[in-house]
Amino acid sequence: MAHKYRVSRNLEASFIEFLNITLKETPYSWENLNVIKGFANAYELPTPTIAVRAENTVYDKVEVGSNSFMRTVQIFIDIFASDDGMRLDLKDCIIEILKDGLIYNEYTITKSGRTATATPTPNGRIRIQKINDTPIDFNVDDKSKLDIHDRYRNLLTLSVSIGRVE
Amino acid sequence: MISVSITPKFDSKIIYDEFIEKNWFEFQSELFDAGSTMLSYMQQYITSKVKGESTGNLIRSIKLYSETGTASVSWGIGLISEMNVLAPYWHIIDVGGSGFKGDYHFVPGFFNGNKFVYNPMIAEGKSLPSGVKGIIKPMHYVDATRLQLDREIQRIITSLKGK
Repeated sequence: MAHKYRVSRNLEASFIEFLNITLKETPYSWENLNVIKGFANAYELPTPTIAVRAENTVYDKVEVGSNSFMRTVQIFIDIFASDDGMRLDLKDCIIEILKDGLIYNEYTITKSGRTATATPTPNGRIRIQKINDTPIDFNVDDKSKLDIHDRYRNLLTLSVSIGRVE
Repeated sequence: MISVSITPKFDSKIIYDEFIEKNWFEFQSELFDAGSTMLSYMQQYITSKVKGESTGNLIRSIKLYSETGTASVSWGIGLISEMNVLAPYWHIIDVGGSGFKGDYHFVPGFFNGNKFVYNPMIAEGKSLPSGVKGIIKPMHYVDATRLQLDREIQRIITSLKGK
C-alpha cells in the first residue's frame, strides 16, 4: 500500500535528503554527521547532528478576491556540534549549499511488511527567501557542565517557498 | 533558442526617497502599530504551541516597550530582566534543550532565563539525584516573530508604494 506525503512533510524530507547527501559529498565531506527530523531525537545521537523541522506556515492570497494562496513555510534547522569551530563551519556550509535553493521532492511511501520505502519524485524547486543565523548561547561559564548536545548549538531559521499557487 | 535576461533595478535610496520619505508620518505610524501586531503574533504563536496546561506566565511576561520622539519610532518586545523574574524559563522554552523533570533538577543544574545555574549540590560535593533527562522542544518564538516582522515591514513598504 502506498501513500503520499503532503507539502510540509515533502519540504522536511527534501531538506533532510539534500543536506544528508550534499554535506557528505565532496567538497564538504562531513563524516559521522546525522541529519534527522525533529528535535528531541538529536539528544539520542552523537554530535554532530542536524535536526530539521517545518513549523509555521503563512498563506498569502495570490490576488484580491481569489481563493488561491501561496504558502511560505518556516524551516528550523538546529545544529548540534562538537565544538565551536565545528558549529561555525557547519552552519556556514549549510548556508552555502542552501542559499541557491534545492529540489522539491514529492515522496511516495510504500509499505511492505515492517519496511517502509520513501521514493522521491522531483517536482519543482524550493526557494530560500530568508535565512536567520542565531547561535544558541546558554550563558554558561563552563560549557562542560552542560549536556554535550547543548554546548555548541546553532539555529538557522529559513523562510522558504515552493512558488506554487494552491 | 530564445533567451531572456532580466536585471532587477533595486536601489534602497529610491525606495526611501520615493516611498518612505514622502509618506514619513504614515510610515512612522505603521511601524509603531507593527509593535503591537508583533506582540500579538508572538503571544498567539506561543499559545498555539503550548501543550497541556499553562500558567500563562510566559505570555504575560512579554510586553511591548515603546518610545516615540519627534523624528523616531522605536519599540521592543520583552525585557530580559523582567522576563527573568516573571518567566524564568523563557530562554529554554525558546531555544529548547536538556531540561529538568519532576522535583529534581537533573545533573548538573538548570536554566534560569538565559543563564545556566549550577546545582548547589555540586558545590557541596553531594551526589546528585539521577533523574530522567527531559528534553524541552524549542518553540523558537523569537525567531518566528523576527521573520514575521520582516514580512510586516515588507507589507508596510508595499502599501506605501501604492500611495
